[in-house]
Amino acid sequence: MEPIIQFEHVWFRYQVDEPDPPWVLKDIRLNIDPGEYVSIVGNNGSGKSTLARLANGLLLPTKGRVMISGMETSSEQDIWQIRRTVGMVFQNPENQIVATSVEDDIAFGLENIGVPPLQMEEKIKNAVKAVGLEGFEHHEPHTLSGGQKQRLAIAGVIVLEPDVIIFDESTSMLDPVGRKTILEIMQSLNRRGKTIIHITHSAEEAFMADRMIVMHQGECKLDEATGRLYQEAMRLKEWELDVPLEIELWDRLRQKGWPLPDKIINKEELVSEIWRLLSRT
Amino acid sequence: MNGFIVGMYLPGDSFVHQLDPRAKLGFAFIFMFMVFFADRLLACAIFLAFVLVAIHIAKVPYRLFFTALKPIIFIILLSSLLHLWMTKGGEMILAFPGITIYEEGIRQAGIISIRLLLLVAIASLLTFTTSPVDLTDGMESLLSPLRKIGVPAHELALMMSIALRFIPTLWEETEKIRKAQMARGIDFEEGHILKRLKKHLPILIPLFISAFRRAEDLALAMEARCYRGSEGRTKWRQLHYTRRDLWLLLILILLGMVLLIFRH
Repeated sequence: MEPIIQFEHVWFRYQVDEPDPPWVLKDIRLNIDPGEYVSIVGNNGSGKSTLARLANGLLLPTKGRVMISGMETSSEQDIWQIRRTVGMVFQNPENQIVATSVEDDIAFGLENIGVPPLQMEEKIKNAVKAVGLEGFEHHEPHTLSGGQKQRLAIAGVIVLEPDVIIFDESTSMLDPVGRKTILEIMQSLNRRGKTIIHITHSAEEAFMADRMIVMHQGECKLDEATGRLYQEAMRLKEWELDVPLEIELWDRLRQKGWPLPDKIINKEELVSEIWRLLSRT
Repeated sequence: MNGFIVGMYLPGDSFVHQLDPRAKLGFAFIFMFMVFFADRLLACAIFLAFVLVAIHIAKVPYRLFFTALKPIIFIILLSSLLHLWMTKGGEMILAFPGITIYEEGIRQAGIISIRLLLLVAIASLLTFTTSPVDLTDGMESLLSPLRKIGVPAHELALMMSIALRFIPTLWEETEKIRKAQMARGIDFEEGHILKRLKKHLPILIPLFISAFRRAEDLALAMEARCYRGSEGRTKWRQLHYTRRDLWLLLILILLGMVLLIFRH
């Protein structure tokens, strides 16, 4: 299977007036297959958002190349097809909404790609349903909550039927309830075959993906299936990242001499291991 | 959100609401133009009567129009006073030391007040009864023939739509910054007018910075959603003229005749 996103030795730096600007991304090699659910974590300035913007041609690599379904992002004639393939949901829900009502905003993308007006109705309806905004079609954006606005932003992206959706810290400005719904939408989109890339600095959210990529100072430090990552998760601290609570707990209990297994695959397994130990004593 | 009357839309299904936005925009434009030619009190009165009837048909509460008028009441008063004071002609009505009021002065003051009132009323009626989406679509469609001579019709309409979309957002933000500055000890109520204006600077600067940041974010998000100007773009909402819109044409002709008949 051909990877849907390919980074081939990508180097990137912003063009500024300084003589030698620092590299934001250094020699990134990355393949993402269709249908994968990948999280990219890293602290501020690690280059993770830049990485996302390279993936749909909002930025172009300084060196190397980025291929989306075999199309190179630097090609001017393919760029619109690339942006239809890779959709992007940003951090601030407020700043992604263009139109004065929910359905008009969803229509915005369709209008941009020249969909005939009569076909739009159906597509808009489906997008509204996919994010659970039924009944809000005629609402003005400022009457929506943060989570609803972000759902609207997602609807505006999925209406274009992209194969890949990148969430660039899309949960970081939301309250816990809003965050939970967005994470659920991500999972359901992934189940329906979309490739999901979730950029976040929450390790807990990152572990919901199947594969995790750690960025630190413009380099890709770790690229591993999350199931296999549990035992070495304490290494996340090396890159100034948080470790999910259950892993921290597992690690500390082991240090205290609890006979916990040294391979944990998920949270549920850890909980049942602890229960087993507790019921034995 | 009170205090935001200008550009507000009141959903409804009255006759006026159902008119085509292009017809309404065109009508309002020509109407405003005609108001400047109404130089007789009687013509002005007929125009005013028409607007009152239109407001009635649109089922918009009258008090909203008073709120819309509030910001320009000062201008109306000032120009009326100037006319009372400066215009000479006709019979002398009142004579005080330093000011003499002539019949013509009263007439001119009346005409100018009604004109200003008409302008505000028709503009408010347009926005009260036309949703922002229809308004911008109507504008885009009316301006599109001018695209040939380089008028960026689509861009102008999009700009207006984005502005309307962000008014409540920026308004909320202003309130937030105001409260934040008040928490830091700024008293906006104190001092004379210049001093108070100066105190608003710490609101304006953060507001501007954030507006620019928003603009940047929005541009990026639009680009990510395949926006590339008017090229190859379709419109979801299609506008259709109906027989109703002919009424506006008829009214315009009637009002035009009124102007001709009562000409100076």
